[in-house]
Amino acid sequence: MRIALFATCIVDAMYPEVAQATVRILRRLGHEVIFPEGQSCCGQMHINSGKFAQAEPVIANHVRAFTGTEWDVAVAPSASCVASLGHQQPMVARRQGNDALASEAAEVADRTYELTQFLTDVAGVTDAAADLGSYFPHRVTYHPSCHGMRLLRLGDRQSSLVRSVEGIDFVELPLADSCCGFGGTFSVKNPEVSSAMLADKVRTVQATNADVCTGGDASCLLHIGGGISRFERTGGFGGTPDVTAVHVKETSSTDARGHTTETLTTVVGADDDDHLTPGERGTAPAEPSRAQGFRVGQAAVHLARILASTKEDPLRVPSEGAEVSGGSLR
Amino acid sequence: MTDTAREEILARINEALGRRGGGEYVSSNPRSTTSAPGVAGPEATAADAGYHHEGTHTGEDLVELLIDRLVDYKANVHRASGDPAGTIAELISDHSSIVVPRGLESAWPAGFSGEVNVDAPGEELSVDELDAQGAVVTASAVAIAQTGTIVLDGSAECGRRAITLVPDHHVCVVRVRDIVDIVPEGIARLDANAALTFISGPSATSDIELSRVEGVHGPRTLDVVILSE
Amino acid sequence: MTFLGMPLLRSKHAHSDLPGGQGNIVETEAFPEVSHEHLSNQQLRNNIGHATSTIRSKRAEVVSELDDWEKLRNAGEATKNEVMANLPEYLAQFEEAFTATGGIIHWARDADEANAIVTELIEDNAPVLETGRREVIKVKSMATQEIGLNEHLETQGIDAFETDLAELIVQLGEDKPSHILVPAIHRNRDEIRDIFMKTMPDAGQLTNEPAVLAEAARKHLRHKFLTTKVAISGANFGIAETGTLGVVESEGNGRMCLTLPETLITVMGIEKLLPRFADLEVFLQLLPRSSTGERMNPYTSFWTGRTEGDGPQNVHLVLLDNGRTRALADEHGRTALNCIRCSACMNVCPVYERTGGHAYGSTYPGPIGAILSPLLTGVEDEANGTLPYASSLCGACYDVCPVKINIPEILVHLRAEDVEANHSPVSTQLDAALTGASWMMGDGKRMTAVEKGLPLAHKATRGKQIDALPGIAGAWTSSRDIPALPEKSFRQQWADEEAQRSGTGAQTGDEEGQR
Repeated sequence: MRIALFATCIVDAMYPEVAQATVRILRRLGHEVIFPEGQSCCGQMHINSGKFAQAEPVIANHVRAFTGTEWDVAVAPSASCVASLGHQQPMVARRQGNDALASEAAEVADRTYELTQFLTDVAGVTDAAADLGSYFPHRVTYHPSCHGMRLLRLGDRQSSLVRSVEGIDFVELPLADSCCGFGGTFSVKNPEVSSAMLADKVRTVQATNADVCTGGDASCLLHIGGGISRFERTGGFGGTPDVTAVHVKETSSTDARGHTTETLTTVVGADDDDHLTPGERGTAPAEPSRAQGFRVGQAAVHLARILASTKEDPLRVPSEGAEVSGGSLR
Repeated sequence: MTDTAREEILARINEALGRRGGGEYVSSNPRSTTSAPGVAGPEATAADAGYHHEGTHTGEDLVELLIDRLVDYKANVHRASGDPAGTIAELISDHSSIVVPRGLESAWPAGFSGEVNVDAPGEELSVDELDAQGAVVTASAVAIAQTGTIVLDGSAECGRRAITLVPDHHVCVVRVRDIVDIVPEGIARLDANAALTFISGPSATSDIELSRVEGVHGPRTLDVVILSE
Repeated sequence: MTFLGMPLLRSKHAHSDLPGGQGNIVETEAFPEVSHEHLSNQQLRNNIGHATSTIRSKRAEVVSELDDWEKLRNAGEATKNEVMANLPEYLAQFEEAFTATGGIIHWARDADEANAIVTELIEDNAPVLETGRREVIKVKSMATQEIGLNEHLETQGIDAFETDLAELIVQLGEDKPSHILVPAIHRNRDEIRDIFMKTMPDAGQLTNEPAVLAEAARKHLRHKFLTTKVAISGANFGIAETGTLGVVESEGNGRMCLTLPETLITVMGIEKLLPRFADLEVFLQLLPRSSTGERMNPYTSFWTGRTEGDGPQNVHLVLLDNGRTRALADEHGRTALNCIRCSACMNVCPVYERTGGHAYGSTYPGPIGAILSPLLTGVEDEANGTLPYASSLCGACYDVCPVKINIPEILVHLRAEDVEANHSPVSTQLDAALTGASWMMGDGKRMTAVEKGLPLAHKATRGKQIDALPGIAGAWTSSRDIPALPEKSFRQQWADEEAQRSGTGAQTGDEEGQR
């Protein structure tokens, strides 16, 4: 199959290694990968900011780049950007009175897949270890992106592929389906609410004691990784009021054979026995800190890099000396 | 003043919908029995949606489902066959007086040794008198098993709404033949023109920390007697 | 096939001239500013987090019991769309049926008109008490919250007593509702006990047990229920076919208000109609499960005009516009009027969960409020202009909406309306950045050229993470780091690889490039 890679702007400029990993996976399956040169961005940032007029040339550029050359399917390592192609581009083009662009955008969108969507639905990959040789012997937790869950309806496509990597120690992320708070320009228009959402996400990631938090969207991972890094460096989130309603507790149970299972339970809000009385409003101490034994040196890593990792050419983690910058492996 | 308001609001709606001078609107909704004159059929009707109109439970399964759901929402459930008088008498034996609607089977409260006040048109009990009653005994129009809901329709054996509201204890007889499985079957049996009260368990609130607490303003005890004939 | 440089044929968004609504639906301060104070309130975060997570799991459980839930949602959506498309006809049909059974209908264009109508009806039917004032009892109603009825009546010598437990907590605490289903969701049991002990003279010593607090409310209101002559309610549904009104509730306070007084005044928005009585078979499944997470709420009452010998014999209905026609005129936003006020969207919203309802400055908080309030008032008036941005567009609200209102899409639509209304002619840094990005991303060549600066940027930041940036980007780096920039964009790496493969490169090594 001739596959057009849609790298997405954030991967292209910030995480080229994610696009490289995507290419490696697709080639490993025997496909030819091309990179339509004129591509830039899906336009979601402008659309979600209400700047439809400014989004139009971005959409037109995407359509031009992807209609200018022959390919069977397009693949992008981002649920959010793929969702924007189908759910937003035609709508915005129509709203701008550009029906021709709307139908062309819809045609491109119809043949564009998110990476795990392609792997599962088109390539029939169900076992990453067997089909891709994926190997990553580390503790991993997984954040599903909102747009992957709710716009693309990816279901367990991403998590089951990650789970099927050889050697992986997969740990569920508590409250996994809650938004990390990125939301594009939401994070700068409502920075405090965004940070509060991020803080809770980082707390749950830290509680898993995983080496890395993975996911299928570089944008969420940029946010989560940036939060982990800031928290680890400073023990807080800068100017953001450090309050939370999320408490993660570790409980362990022993089964009949004597195997111990550790479970992370999340308590939202106060327990019955730790009610704050009126008057204590706003003065409660910020909850988790490094003193509670959270692991330091966690990183956020796109799942494409984990799927691309093999025994011969493994992706290394911080404990093996890999460098972490801003919460990302470099 | 209000007539002007009426005309202006209707004109605003027409403007909002992009209508000019009205048009021909013909109902094409298959479920529409008495649609407003000139109503346009929607593109997708509710009837196309394909949700269930009938349940799957019958016989004893249906009764068991109703009982399960009633108990789940903290109603007390009792079963009687033929004559419920003994069961009813036991349930209300602590009270000194009760109220019943005029159309209630006279045999039902017959085993009660206290005062039985009959609420009838022209002989309604006052609110204070109702407040002094220990309990009310009524029949019911329909019971919906899936949701544990009993419907009173203001008929002679269900009574007017106030009598099942003010006394703190409601004993309600549900005939097995009046039990349906799911909500659509229940609605189909009801007449919109009656004053209807749907009851699912005793009065309750979730207003404090969203935890359910039974017993606020309505009757705090709901005894349901399921009557097989 | 270029669209660049072509004149932009903009479809004209004809802003409606229809008047916007008034009352408690206007955010007076910008959302980011108001939310600041709420975000730092640990008590609030605990109370709301606990309550919303409780209700979320209850809802999920009862929804999972129905294998036709999605079909019911489709039916709910179709029915409400049908109502909106035929609103004049259904209103006329409703009016005829309600009037035929002895009910009296009043039409109110806005909040002021509705308040005046209700005041006059109370003055005609409620006696002046020894205190020199009149009294009415009320069952929780969003419409009367929206028009600020209680505040208005207060000035007219009328005391309105809220009878829903949560509304009572709010009223006694001299507070504002923060949720449409559970207005006192921001309070925990200890706070509620303190409010009751302070404001209920006969309550005595109370514990914080919810059952004890509910009992105190029962005693406090019992006498009022049995003696008050006039009650005010809202309505969850109005049935066009039969002229029937319905109220869905839990405590029995609704039944008290709807049954015992001599006069009943109901205030209902014009959008609350359902075509047929049979439509309740859908909505009585959708509403309770979405709202309180119950299979059915404890009490639902339906009445049609006046019922001879049963309940109030003087029955009035105020049909309220107050901006609804304006919302209806917005073809991209009008489905917000399909809302049945279940509050499921609030309970799943990550923004609401952290700021609480007061941050939205409107009777309608949370995701639905973020679209409904601006639709009722109009965004071009700048009122409510920050509300459409109060969302990360995570989409959780759309997933749970029983009538499938696409809230994220309407939020984006309203942002576009706000941009078009051009509230701040002075371009912000974010605007400038987005304009620059549009220019760059509108052509892959420009993006390539800009990315050529990466090696320089990489060098300037010494390959380290970025933890402080000036200006608007500082909002990001205030609480997050940015990873070290790569030395080359993927685009550049690809070009290098291509050059290599075509034999021009002398380099050897990993042909797959860096990972």
